[in-house]
Amino acid sequence: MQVAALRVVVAEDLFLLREGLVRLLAARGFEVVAATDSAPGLLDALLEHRPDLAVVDIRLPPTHTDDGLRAALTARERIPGLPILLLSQYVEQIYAEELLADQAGGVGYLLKDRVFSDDQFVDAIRTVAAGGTVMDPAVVTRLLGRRSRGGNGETLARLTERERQVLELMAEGRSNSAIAGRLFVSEKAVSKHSTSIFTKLDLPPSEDDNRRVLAVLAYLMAQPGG
Amino acid sequence: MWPFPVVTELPWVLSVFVALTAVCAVLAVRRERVPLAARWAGPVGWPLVAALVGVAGYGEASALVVDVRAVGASSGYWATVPDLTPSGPLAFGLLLAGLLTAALMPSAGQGPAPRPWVLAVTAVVAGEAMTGAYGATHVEGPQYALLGAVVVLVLGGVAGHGLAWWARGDEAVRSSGRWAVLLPAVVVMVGGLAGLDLWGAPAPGVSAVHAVLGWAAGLALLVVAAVAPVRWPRAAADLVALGLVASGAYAVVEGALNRSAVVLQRVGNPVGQGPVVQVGLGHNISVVGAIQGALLLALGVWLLPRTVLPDARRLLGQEPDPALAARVRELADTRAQAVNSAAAELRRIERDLHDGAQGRLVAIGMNLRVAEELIADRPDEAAALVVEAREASAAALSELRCLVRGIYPPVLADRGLGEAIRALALDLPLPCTTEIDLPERLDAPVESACYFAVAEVVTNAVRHADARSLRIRVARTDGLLRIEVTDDGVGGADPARGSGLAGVERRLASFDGILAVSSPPGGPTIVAMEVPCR
Repeated sequence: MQVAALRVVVAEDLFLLREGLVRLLAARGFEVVAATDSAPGLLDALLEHRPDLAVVDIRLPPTHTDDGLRAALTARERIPGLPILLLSQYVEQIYAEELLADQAGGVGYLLKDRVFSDDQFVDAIRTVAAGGTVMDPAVVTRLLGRRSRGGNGETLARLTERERQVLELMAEGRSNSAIAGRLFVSEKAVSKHSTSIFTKLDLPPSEDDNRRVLAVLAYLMAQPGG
Repeated sequence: MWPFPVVTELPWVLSVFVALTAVCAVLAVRRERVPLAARWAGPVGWPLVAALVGVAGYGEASALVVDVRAVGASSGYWATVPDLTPSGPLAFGLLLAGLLTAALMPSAGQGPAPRPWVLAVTAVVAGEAMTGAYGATHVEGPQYALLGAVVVLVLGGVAGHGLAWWARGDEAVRSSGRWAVLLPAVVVMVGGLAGLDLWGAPAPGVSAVHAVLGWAAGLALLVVAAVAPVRWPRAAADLVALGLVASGAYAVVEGALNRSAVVLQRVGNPVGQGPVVQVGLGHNISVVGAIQGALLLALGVWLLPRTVLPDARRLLGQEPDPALAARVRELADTRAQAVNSAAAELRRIERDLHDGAQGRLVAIGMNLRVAEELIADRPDEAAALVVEAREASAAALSELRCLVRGIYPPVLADRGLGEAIRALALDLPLPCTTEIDLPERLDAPVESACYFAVAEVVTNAVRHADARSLRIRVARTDGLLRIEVTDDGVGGADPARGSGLAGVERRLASFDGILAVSSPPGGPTIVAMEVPCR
C-alpha cells in the first residue's frame, strides 16, 4: 500500500547537521519540502508549504537565541495544530511548558542526540505528525524530579516501581504497544498499569494516547509556584 | 580638699544609668567570654555603653558642678556653664555619648563596626530619656517629654534612614563620616552660644514670639545637623573638629579668666523663687569649665589630623582624594580577582575538554578507521565498531552539554536572567517559588554573574541547609538589581567559613555588587545580593 510521503520542513542553521537531517529524512521516506537556516525563513516556509511536520532547531539566526521556538509558536498560532518537533542541544522545562501550553498536541521536544537513534527519531516524527506528543526522556526525568519533591511527592511515591516506569514512558509520549515492547510485558499489562496510575494520580481515565500524554504532562508540570 | 559640693542624694535615674553602664561595660570588655555579649557587643553593645556612659557622665558632672537644689532650696532649676553645656542635659548627654561612641567605635578591621544610625539614634534617645525622666521625677512637665519624644522620632527617622543609606558608601567616607555623628551635639552647643535653645523653657522676660522663633531655629539647626552627616559626612566631620577646637579653646580661656558664666535654667514648672547663686560657686564652675574645655579641645585637636588636615591637603592638591584612592584599590583588587578567576575557569574548561570530549573524538576516529578496514571482510565487527563510535559521540555530546551549561547556560543566553532563574528553580529537587520582576534584559556579564551567584547560593541551600523549600526574589529598582534567596533550613551559613558564599561575594564585587547573609542557627537563611545595573 503506497501512502503519500509526509511533507517536512527542516530548520537548522548548522550546514552539516541540516544536510544530514535532510538526507536521513529522505532515506526514511519523508519528503523534505524546504530546508532553511533561519527563523524568518522557517516562518515563511511553514506558511507557504503548510507541511505535515516541521523539524526545528530552537536556536536559530538572526539572534541565535530561541528564535526557532518563537517562530514555530507563531506559525502554530496562524496554523492551529501545525505539528512541530523541536530539536535542541539542551532541554529546558520552561520551553516544554511553552510548547505544551495550548494543549493541542502535535508537538515534540527532543535532544539532538536522539537523531542518532533513527528509529526513535522517526517514531517521534510519525507520532508528532499524527497529532501526538513526544517529550525527551531528559525532560521527563526532570519533571518527575520536580514532582516527586515537596507536598506532592507522596502521590508519586504511592506508585510501584513498574508503574513509575510506565508513567515515565507515557510522559515521553509512547503508545501502549511501544511501552509493552520496551518493558517486555504484554500490552494488556501496560493498560492495567496505566489505569492504576490514573486512579492513583486522580486523573480522568483516557483511552486516547495523546490525551493521555497531555494529562500526564499537565499533572507533572502542575508544580505549585514553579 | 574636694573643691565641689558633694551630692549625697543621687536621683534614682542616675543610679539606674550608672548600674546599666557598669553591666554594659563589663559585657563589652569581657565579650569573648560571654556568648550573648559577643553577639550583641558589636551592633548594640558599643553604642549602648557609649550612650549610657555619656548620659551618666553628664549627671555626675553636673552634680559635681553645682547642685542647685541644695544651693537655692528650690527644685526645678539647673545651673549650667553655657560654653560647655549650653542647652542643658540633652546637649551634654549627646556630646558625651557621641564622643565616647566615636572613641569606642572599633576601628576598621577589628570586629564588626556598629551601624552609624544606631549610634545617632541611641545618643538622641539616651539624652532625651535622661531629660524626660529627670524632669518627670521632679516637676510636672509632661509637655517637655512629649516634645522631646516627637523630636526624637523625627530626628531618629531622618538620621536612621539617611545613615542606613549612607552606610553602604565606601570606606573612606565611612571612616571620616563617623565623626560626623557628633554634629548634632556640636550644633546644639554652638546654637546655645547663639542663644538658640531648643530644650529649655524660655528665660523669664523673653517674649513668646522670640521664644517660638528661637525654638524653630533650634529645631531647624538640629534637623540640618542630623541630615548633614548623611549628605556630607566628610564636611560634617570637619565641622565637628573645628567646632570642638573653637568651643574648647573658648571655654579654657573663660575658665582661666575665672569668667565662666552661670546660667540658671528651668526644667518644667519651677516651684518658688529662683536660687541665689552663692559666692564661690562661680569659681568652682570655672575650674570644672576649664577642665571640660580642655577635654573638648583635646578631642578637637585629636580629630584635626583625621578630618580637617587630610581634607585640606586634598583640597590643596597635595594628596589624592581618599575616597578615590580607596576606589582605585578596590578596583585593582576586584580586577585581579576577576582575571584570576577567568583564568582558572579557562583552565578548568580546557581540562574538561581535553579529558572528555576531545578524548572521545579521538576514540571515535580510531573506531571508524578500524571499521573502514574491516567493512569489506568482516562487516559484523565493523558494524559493532560503528555502534560503539555512535555511543561515544552521544557521550561526548552529553559532556559538552554539561560543560556549556557551566560556561553560559543556553536559557540565560536565550531568555535572560529572570527565565534562567525560573528554569533553575524548576530543576531543583525542592519546591522553590520565584518572584521575578525584570522587565528588561541586563548586560550579559551582569546576568551571568548573578545567575551563577544564585546557582551557588541555591546549591548551598540544597546541600547544606537541609531546607524544605526555597524562595527566590529578583527585582530591579533605582538602577539596583536586588536578589534574595530564602530557605527554611538549619541556618548557620557563614561566608567567612570557606563556603561558596565567599566566592559569590568576590564574583559580585567585580560588578560593585554586595552580598549579605542572615543565617541564625535554626534558620531561616536569607542571602541578599545587590548589584548596580545601568
